[in-house]
Amino acid sequence: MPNGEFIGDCLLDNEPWPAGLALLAQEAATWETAGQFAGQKQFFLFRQCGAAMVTPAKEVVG
Amino acid sequence: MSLLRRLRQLVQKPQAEAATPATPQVPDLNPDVLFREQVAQAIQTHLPELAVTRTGPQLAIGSLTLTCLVGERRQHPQAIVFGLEVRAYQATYFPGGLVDCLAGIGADDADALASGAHNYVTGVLQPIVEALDAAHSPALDFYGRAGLLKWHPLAGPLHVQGFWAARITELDEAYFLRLFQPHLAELFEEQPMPLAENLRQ
Repeated sequence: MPNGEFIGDCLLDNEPWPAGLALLAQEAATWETAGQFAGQKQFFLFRQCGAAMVTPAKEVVG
Repeated sequence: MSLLRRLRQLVQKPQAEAATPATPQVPDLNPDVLFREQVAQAIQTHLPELAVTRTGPQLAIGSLTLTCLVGERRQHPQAIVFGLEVRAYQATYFPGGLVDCLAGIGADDADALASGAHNYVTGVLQPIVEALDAAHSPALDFYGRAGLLKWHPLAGPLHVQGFWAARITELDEAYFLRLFQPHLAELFEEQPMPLAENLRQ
């Protein structure tokens, strides 16, 4: 936030992940944003190698 | 004189009818329905290879289903901001759903919902689809507990606001992944491995 306050969420398997949020807070504290609002968001999904997936999502249209 | 008036009526009548739409489009103002349709439209635009169907209040893409919900609406002087939530369900891998909460920001309600739908489809749904399609980037792979299990990360694009909007090129899309990776490796549990015959379902 412009006043230097950190506001964030970090979820792991839909549940709050405090350790991850602490890492983000440490990271954001290093941002030199000159008193401006600054936000970042990213989604990750992890797939176990060898877990051959069903392929339900891609279908040919038409 | 009456003939002239009659001629004018004959000439003017088609113009008057043309001014009234034959089938006026009445928008559905239910925000949940509007948002769901915006998500469907964003899928058609950004992931056109997917076939989307409507099943009651949900969107279905093969065995993947999406529930799109609109929460709080806030009106700011220059923008409308919606709190949005999308839950993606897949029976084998995430039967409890992958929940993503995001903000839809725009000049009006439709614009805000469309912005949220775009961000969800490009930022969250796309990696989910890639994971289900067994795609991954080998350069991002890492090993988990005791080095026994190998994991394939699927990363959505880094979405930024404010200060970073003009500096997106300065950011590393894999930075957060590298930040979290050592901590996640100790937490991950073995995932369900479908039997071979399940692959053809």
